[in-house]
Amino acid sequence: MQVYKTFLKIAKAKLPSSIVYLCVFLVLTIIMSATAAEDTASKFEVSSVDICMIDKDQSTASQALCDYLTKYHTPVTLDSYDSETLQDNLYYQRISYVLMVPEGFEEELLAGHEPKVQTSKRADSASGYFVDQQIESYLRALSLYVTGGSSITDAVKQADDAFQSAPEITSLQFDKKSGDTDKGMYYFFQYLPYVLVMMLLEGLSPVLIAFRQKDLAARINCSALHTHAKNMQIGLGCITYSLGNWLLFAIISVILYQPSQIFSRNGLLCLLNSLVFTLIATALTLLVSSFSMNDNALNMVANVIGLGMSFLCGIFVPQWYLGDAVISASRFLPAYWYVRINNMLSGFSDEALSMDTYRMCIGVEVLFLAAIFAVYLAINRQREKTSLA
Amino acid sequence: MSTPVVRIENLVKRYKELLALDHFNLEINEGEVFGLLGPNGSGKTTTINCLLSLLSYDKGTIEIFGREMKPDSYELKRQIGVVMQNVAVFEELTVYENIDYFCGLYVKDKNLRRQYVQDAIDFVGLKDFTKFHPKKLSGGLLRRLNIACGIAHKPKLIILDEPTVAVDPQSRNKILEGIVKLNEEGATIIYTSHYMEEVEQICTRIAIMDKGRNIAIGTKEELKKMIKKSEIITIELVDLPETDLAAIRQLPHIYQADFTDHKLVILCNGGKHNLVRVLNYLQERELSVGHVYSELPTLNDVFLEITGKELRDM
Repeated sequence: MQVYKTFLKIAKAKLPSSIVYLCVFLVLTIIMSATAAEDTASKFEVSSVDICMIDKDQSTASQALCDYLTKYHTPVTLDSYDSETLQDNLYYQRISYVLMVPEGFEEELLAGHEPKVQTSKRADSASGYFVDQQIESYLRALSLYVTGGSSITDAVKQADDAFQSAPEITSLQFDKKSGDTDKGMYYFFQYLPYVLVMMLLEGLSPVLIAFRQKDLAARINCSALHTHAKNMQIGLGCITYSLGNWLLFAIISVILYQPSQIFSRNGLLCLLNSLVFTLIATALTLLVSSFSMNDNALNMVANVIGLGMSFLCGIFVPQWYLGDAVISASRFLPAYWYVRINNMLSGFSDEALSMDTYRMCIGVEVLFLAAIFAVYLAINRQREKTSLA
Repeated sequence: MSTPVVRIENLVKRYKELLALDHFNLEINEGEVFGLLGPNGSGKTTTINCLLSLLSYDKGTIEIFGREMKPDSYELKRQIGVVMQNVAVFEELTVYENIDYFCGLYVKDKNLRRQYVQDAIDFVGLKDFTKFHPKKLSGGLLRRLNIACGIAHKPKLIILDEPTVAVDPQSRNKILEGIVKLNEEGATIIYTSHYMEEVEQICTRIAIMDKGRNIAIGTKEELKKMIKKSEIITIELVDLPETDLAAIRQLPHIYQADFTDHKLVILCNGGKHNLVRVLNYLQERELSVGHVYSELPTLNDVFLEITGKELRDM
């Protein structure tokens, strides 16, 4: 096991560059976990915003809409309702939302059209979008009842009843979908692919490249060590290093998020997902190290792969913020399927948790693993032939 | 007659259009320090790589210790030590760890290996540097480490491919002394170089290569006898009349004599006391003589006469 032992010795010498990524990852994860812990409370607050309502129609329907919003939000009265005053108040955050019900609102409703209202909100206000949705839902319901033949008064009553029996606003928040687990754990697993790719590329590639140096490889090839034994020992070194990394992260996750969470069904599914991705990152590392390069070039390649995959596949930027074209392209990268599983398990995305989908995504990841490894083997075989010729 | 340690017959190696080895033949006997001498690109390293099965070849046979050498001839490889042209060690390992690693590719027994590694360290004189990383070593020490990695397992056949390239004279002498010592301890040595002085200094038999062919083979004395020139005499003179120059050309064993820039250069083809004979003639003619030099032909002269070009020009 001379090669194996030396492999690990060299890997140990290369550890400092990997540890930098580990530290950055831990700091990032701890910050995100802390932020996530406060999220639930803040989300409840976003359902109650300071809202300025200007009712120019003064009709039963417009009054019903204002009453409906008053149930959930805090109405604010201003001295003046001119455009400039409203913009100033929005800017200085004295109000978060402005609703203006125009004249003819009820007439529109009675004519069978969905009535329009004018709204303004702060550009960076997530809660503003939530109020938009509330207004839209209420008006759609009102319009539906009127179209169904109800009078305005009856329609208002029916809509109020319907929305009273509707689930609590807080229950609509996505963070509750997956049960009672801490979202921090999912952030941990969300960022894991980036740090795994970087740690393996920065830590494992130099070891492989060292063994592949032309003169060193020649010296080993003309020794009494069987080629198969050499390849087996290098392979074993790679597996030890990769699984060692994965195990380290698994232990860290248990320390950070308690065994009850990690060994829950979702936790174990996250662990399995990360294990498969670790193997993909290992295959990727083998492939990259097939091309002998110096430390600077390796660093550049590692950053291009690590950051590129993270931004394209939704590790740093949530997948639902990415454009359709980006999402379509990212399907051809393994991290997309990893992140999709994590989003599904955490409830970050709207995709409902399904074991069939989980198995499908893991299957795609395994296919990526096989494909990358096959390319690596093909390149290596070609290289061996060339070196002998 | 005992089996040669190395037998190469009719070896042909092509790199696409380039014929690197052209029906190359070679036999090396046990206990020899065999020199492969030739200019860069003459096929020395290609020969070594074919010998070690690091390169495939188009035609011919290679036998080591009487058995065919193939990529999976691990038992044969166990008896061979290789010192590559370029330093091939791990930057991340210390001197000791490097030697131990390469020795471990041949020797499984830990205790025996420890002893071998220690012997190799003592042999190359790296005792004070065992915990150093290669980056901290000078060029000469690095070359010595390279040699230690190749010979630590005490091989019977040691192949050294230009081990003194870019080494200072002091380290070069140390390396050459070491090679002779290894030979004295029983190892057969193949030594490739384009430095003819080194080859002349340590090799018992020499093959001169050019364009992938073995153009001459023998001891250095045998090689020098192959050429016409056996002695070069240079004498400084104030003047030498044309008649005297013609007379000198008529002296026995002198086949060429020229006088330019107050220097008389005489080439002899064998015979003894050529210098005395020339000096006697000049004394008789009362021609005053300055510095006098007499040189024996070098391997470069052999190469020059056979190929028409200088070894070092290549």
